[in-house]
Amino acid sequence: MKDQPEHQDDAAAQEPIAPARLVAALGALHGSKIPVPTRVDEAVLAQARSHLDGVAAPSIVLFPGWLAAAAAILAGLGLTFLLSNTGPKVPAFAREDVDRNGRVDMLDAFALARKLQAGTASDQMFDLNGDGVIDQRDIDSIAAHAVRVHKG
Amino acid sequence: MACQPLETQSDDPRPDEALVALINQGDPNAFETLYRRHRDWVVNLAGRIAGDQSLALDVLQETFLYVLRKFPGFQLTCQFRSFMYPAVRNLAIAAREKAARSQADGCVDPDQLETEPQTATGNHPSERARLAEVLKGLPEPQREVLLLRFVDGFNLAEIAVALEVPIGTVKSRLHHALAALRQDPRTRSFFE
Repeated sequence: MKDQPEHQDDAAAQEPIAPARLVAALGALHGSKIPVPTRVDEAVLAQARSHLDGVAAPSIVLFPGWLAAAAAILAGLGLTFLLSNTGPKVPAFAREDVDRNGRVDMLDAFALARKLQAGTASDQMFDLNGDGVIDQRDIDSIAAHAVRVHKG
Repeated sequence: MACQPLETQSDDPRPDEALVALINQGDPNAFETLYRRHRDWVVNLAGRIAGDQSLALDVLQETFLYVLRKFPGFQLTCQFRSFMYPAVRNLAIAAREKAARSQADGCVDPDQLETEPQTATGNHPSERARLAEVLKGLPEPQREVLLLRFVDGFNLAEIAVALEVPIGTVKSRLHHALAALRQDPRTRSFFE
């Protein structure tokens, strides 16, 4: 069967109506119910509790003005101290930095491509465009990012 | 694009938007309500696309974990199911293709895949079998719109949002799908 042009023609100006018998038959064909085991519910909800546990909004405590000012000064001094110390730092990698070398470049796109090819790119952190599937578009996303970085 | 409310499967009267706002504040009970409201639709849709119950259950979990990762900071700008549809479809297709590859490698029992939809009361089995055959022959975009409209109960605007196409395209696909069913001798009887 040949696909039809994707535009609204005169015949489709109104919403097409299906006969009730056809709707019932479609429902009978595709309306089957898949039972969801309790363990699946529990797995999803446990993940939700774990994830949302860190999301809860922090409570706001109001301090007197002088105490807040003193705290701000102490925080400033502490920050200055921390910045002046050059101890070992834990690297924070961008999600696009697939090979974890601290840079986002075309090698990361190749790295993800290899993972995809090998079937080892199942970690959702590689779903860079957030469409729920890890595919060529995520590789393209890294490539675009790498080009932007190099331009900068 | 306007969104109309869909039927839900929860007694909780709060709309999805209110639940999303609560989840953004870290409320796990709101997430559970949202999950139980849409769970059956997601798993059945996944089963329809993946063609396998076990894969559908995997897709169900992956879909809600995908949604979960959107929080905090998730803004719901249309009906929740319109937002979910592309994720369910993509995950189900990926699961089906992965299973097919495993099947080709001899890792999966071929009988586990390509299960036919279960039959139910209401129509003569042979009539339903003919309908299934004709549906299989429809172009995928037309079949997708037909099922979203008459099985999932989406309205045209919701389908347009879910598929990211103009509403005129949705109408056109639906019109052509119904015309094909009407013209096909195997399914003409539904229109008489």
